[in-house]
Amino acid sequence: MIDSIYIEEEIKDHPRVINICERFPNAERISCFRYGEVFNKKAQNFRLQKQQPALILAKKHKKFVLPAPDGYGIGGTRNFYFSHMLNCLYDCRYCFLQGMYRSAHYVLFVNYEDYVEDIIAHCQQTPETDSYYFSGYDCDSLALEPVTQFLDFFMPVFRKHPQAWLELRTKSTQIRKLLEQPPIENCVVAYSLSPEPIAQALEHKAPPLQRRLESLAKLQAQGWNIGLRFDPLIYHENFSEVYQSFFATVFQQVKLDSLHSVSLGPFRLPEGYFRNVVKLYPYEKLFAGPLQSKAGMVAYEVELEQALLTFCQQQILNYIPQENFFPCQYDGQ
Amino acid sequence: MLQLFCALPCEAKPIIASYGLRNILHHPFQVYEKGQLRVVVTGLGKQSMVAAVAYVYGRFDLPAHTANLNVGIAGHYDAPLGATVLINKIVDKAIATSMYPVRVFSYAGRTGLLETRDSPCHEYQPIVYYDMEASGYFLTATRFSPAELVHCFKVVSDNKDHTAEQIDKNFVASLINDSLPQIDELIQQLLAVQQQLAESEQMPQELAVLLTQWKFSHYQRKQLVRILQRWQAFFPTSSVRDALSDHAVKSASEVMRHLEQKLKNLPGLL
Repeated sequence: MIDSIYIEEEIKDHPRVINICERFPNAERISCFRYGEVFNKKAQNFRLQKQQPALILAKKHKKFVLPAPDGYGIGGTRNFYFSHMLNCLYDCRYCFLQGMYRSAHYVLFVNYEDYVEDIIAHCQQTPETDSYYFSGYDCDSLALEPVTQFLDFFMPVFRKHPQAWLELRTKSTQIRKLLEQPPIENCVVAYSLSPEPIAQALEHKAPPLQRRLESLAKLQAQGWNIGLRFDPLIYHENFSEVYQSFFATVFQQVKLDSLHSVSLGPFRLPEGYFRNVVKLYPYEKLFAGPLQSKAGMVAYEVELEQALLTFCQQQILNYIPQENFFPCQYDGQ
Repeated sequence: MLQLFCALPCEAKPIIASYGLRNILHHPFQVYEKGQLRVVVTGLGKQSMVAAVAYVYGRFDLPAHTANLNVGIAGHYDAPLGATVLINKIVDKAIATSMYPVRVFSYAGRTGLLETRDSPCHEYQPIVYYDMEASGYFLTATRFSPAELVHCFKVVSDNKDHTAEQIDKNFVASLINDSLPQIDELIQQLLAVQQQLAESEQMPQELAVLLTQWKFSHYQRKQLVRILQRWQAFFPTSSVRDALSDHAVKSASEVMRHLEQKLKNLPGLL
């Protein structure tokens, strides 16, 4: 799976680096000073690299925990995100990562301890108020768990700090580590879900919808809080029939009593990212559809977007109470 | 098109012979070509290589999806003569820069680190390969093509026991000749990668015809490309000109207006 591993010189003897390299004994190892000299170079093609991404092992130096964008939350007032990893195993055509990053290589920041220090510092700023930490912003939280061992390190921290909430955002079926431990109240395993025809058309390399639902059901049976993330909504012919049937399928298989939250968001990309993805995929239908640019964001035309959101919201609220529903807001909406 | 850059005629000769390339240019650089393959003899040193790479891109008006392979000899501390290596990192201490070719294909051979120097190497450090051109080649070629299409393949010609002074042109030619199977494998791999990129960079099917029929400004041309890409995404078998034939279209602006109108009510993703 990984043919090449770039390693920052400073961390070449880090135990996590050694451990990961042992998993890929045949991968070529290439040293670099800082990951940016590989990852940030202009003359690269994301689409080509996605076929065979390398792994870059690096140390993060600052900005471990960042404020989440406005309009992004699942009930808390203090919302943050942290990215132990950049780029994702999957290749979803709607994803902003392909427009944001020049490289498709996976960057793994191995200094987890520094992230934890910053998370605890943020919690201590407001000890009376819960803080929410979203981990799947720049990657899938679980897809590369066997390599990253992210849960092994971070779950005990959140177990010890019940006022710090962790969202694991994923499409993955790598849930073994979660099933091997008792659930914690302050963790939400949030599955990104789309109707099967959309998943097949756009969510390349990701597990099919039904397998995600099966993982979700296993987690719920174990007592884990589950989130459903219907994001992004994708316009297509027979939209209403397809989404109606999709919501019925999902809510038939989900236990509502341990459903933490449901969020909903339309397809949207910042303009600059959209320009980049169109260069990569100029004949992709998703990018050729009824889109408009407004306040720096490319999204469906306003009336169409409103119709999609209204329809889906009505459908979802047939199944869940309003207080569990968190529609995503974005600038330009 | 795949371009091979060789510093020395004796490095290029076996490749030219093997692929039956024909000389198409003598000055300022010797260039040989046949089909999708071109060999450029650049001369020794970084500056010559930089000049040659920039020259051929301009001379032949090459697209970004042009593949490139620098083939040549290199020194190494103790690697055996004739050992081959595909370079995964190039270092040039004179300009304090490291460069990273990006491999998006499988390669079973040896890979390694190369240092480009300004003069022949007489003191070898373990692990590192040495040459005099690769950094100039890589930095220049990646101004035009992505790093996935700019690669460097070296054959060990000298080491601590058989130094550079003992190299002659017949020896170099024999080293390259013995490495032709690996060179050919790399050529095939790079052409496959290039093909993928070419497909995504392909101009829309009817662009050229529309440009001859109506006068588009530079900005309108860019807009037209996007309109035609969208058209092709949804109507891959439907002709734009047929769609326009219903209307008495007199100008480029009208062409774009009519096509935009037809794209307004698209059937959707599925």
